[in-house]
Amino acid sequence: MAETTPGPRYSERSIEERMGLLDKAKMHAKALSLGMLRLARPQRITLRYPMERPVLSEGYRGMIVLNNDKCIGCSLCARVCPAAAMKMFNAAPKKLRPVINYERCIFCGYCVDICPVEALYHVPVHDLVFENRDDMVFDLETFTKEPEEPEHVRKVKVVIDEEKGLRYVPVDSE
Amino acid sequence: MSQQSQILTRRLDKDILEVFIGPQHPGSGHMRIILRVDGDIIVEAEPDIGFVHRTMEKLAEGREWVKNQPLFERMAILDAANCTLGYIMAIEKLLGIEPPPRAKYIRTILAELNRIASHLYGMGIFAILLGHSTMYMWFFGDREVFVELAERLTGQRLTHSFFWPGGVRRDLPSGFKDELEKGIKYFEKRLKEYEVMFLKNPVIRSRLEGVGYISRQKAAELGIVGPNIRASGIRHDVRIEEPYAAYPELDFEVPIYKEGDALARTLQRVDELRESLKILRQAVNRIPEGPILHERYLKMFTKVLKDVLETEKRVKLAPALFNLRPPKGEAYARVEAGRGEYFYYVVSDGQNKPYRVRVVSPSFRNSIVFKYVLPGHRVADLPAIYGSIDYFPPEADR
Ligand code: SF4
Ligand code: SF4
Repeated sequence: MAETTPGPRYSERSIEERMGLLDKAKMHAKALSLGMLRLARPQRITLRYPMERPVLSEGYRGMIVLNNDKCIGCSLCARVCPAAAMKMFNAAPKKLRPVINYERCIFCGYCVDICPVEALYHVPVHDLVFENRDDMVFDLETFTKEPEEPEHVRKVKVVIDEEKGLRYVPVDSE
Repeated sequence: MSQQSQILTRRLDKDILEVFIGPQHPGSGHMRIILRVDGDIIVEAEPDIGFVHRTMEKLAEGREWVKNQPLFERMAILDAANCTLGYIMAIEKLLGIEPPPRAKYIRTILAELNRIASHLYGMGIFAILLGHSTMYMWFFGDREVFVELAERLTGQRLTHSFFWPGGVRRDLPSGFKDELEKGIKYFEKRLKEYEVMFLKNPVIRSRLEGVGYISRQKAAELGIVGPNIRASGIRHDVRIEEPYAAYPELDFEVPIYKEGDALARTLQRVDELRESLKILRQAVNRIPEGPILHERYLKMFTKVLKDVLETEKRVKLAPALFNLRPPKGEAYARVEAGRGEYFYYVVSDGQNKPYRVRVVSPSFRNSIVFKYVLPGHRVADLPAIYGSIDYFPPEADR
């Protein structure tokens, strides 16, 4: 402990006096000029999704991929799934493998975190499009392949900025 | 009578109209306020809640202990850390363990990020209800900074599911301190702009001043919580009354306003944002080194689990945590969330699922306000009052 601190405490405050006419005029003018300033120098953080997509942060809990060779078929992932999105099935006699239903998955990452052999992992993709609902139930083949992002997407890096809040830096410009 | 219609009818007093506000998402969620108005004046108001009731307490009895975390966080996903922390703390009390200091600090950091995000969300809705669409955009835009920070820490924007009993799921990512500092500096500048654009804006002032007044006594009588009761002059904040996580070691103030009107509640929230920034700054600077999970479970880690913890700073879910069987008994925990006090009461019968979980959420306690505060106001004041209470139906209905 470096310094002694007073710790958490209450502090009574009160609203200052009602505004007089002059104050009101002044504040109106200030608000308007701030509005004008922001019109000229906007504080925009709009992202042109889906043409532009952010690079998701490291460790983002995105879609889940199975490494079939590592999996030992212990069923823990299916047991822990709070949304019952993961189910086990017999891939071959005496060979249980999990499959996932993205209609149900809530991306809590419990399955990835409980796998004792790290056979499941997240990929930084979270917005695939499915043409019908049956496609959202993955089979072993789709579940073991990393989903691909469409080609026309421009990737931007999200940078936290003191001036603008968030700034988007195109990835290929670096 | 009986010969005629089977439908019950009743007479309204002359000139009294019944107006239904909702239940199609009138503000922050599905709820209905039934107003009886005489001309433009509200004479009676009935908050009609329950449209998003999901039987969470019952559902919780059928799931293993840790599986309830993603469930409870759906009460208020914009405040996910605060609304699940109480549940995890109650489990820890049953188990008789305390998280290590570093885990406590990380919990505090996420809780404050969530408080800021939650206040900004509430104020954004408030601004759009008042018709101030500029501020709505600003509040929601600035909230994005804190949501982004939470994403870097937890791996998910809103539904963090970030706690394990006895610790947290991830360590602070590298460079988090600098990023947080940048976010704080940016937000401090923005708070000054809020003042000009919103808080001291004469139009906003005249819509809020003296509107929706809750006296100190009334606030205590109705048992409301959170920023709403503090704006009525009552000293009540769980972070001080029953300190948890790293709060007792940090230096911050909890503002108290005595005016009790919509303006006081707004200023109350903005002042709390300032204090949250202070807490965040201290917490990242003072965070001690050490483990982020209780040693009882760390001991059970296999080699793979240890490797992941070393290299990725990710705490895997040891089977012992999943098959948790807390000893028979009961425990409670309280947490100060963005909208007020969350209360959890859990009963264990020694099984791997809870016997009973009782949740009392802040919005539920605050919902009664509408009945007593709205009468006597004009209908046009309803948005100002509704917004200033920061009522969130999914949280109230559970
Ligand atoms: S991320 Fe969560 S919901 Fe999705 S499959 Fe894994 S455990 Fe189930
Ligand atoms: S937990 Fe891992 S090893 Fe076990 S079945 Fe699931 S993926 Fe396979």
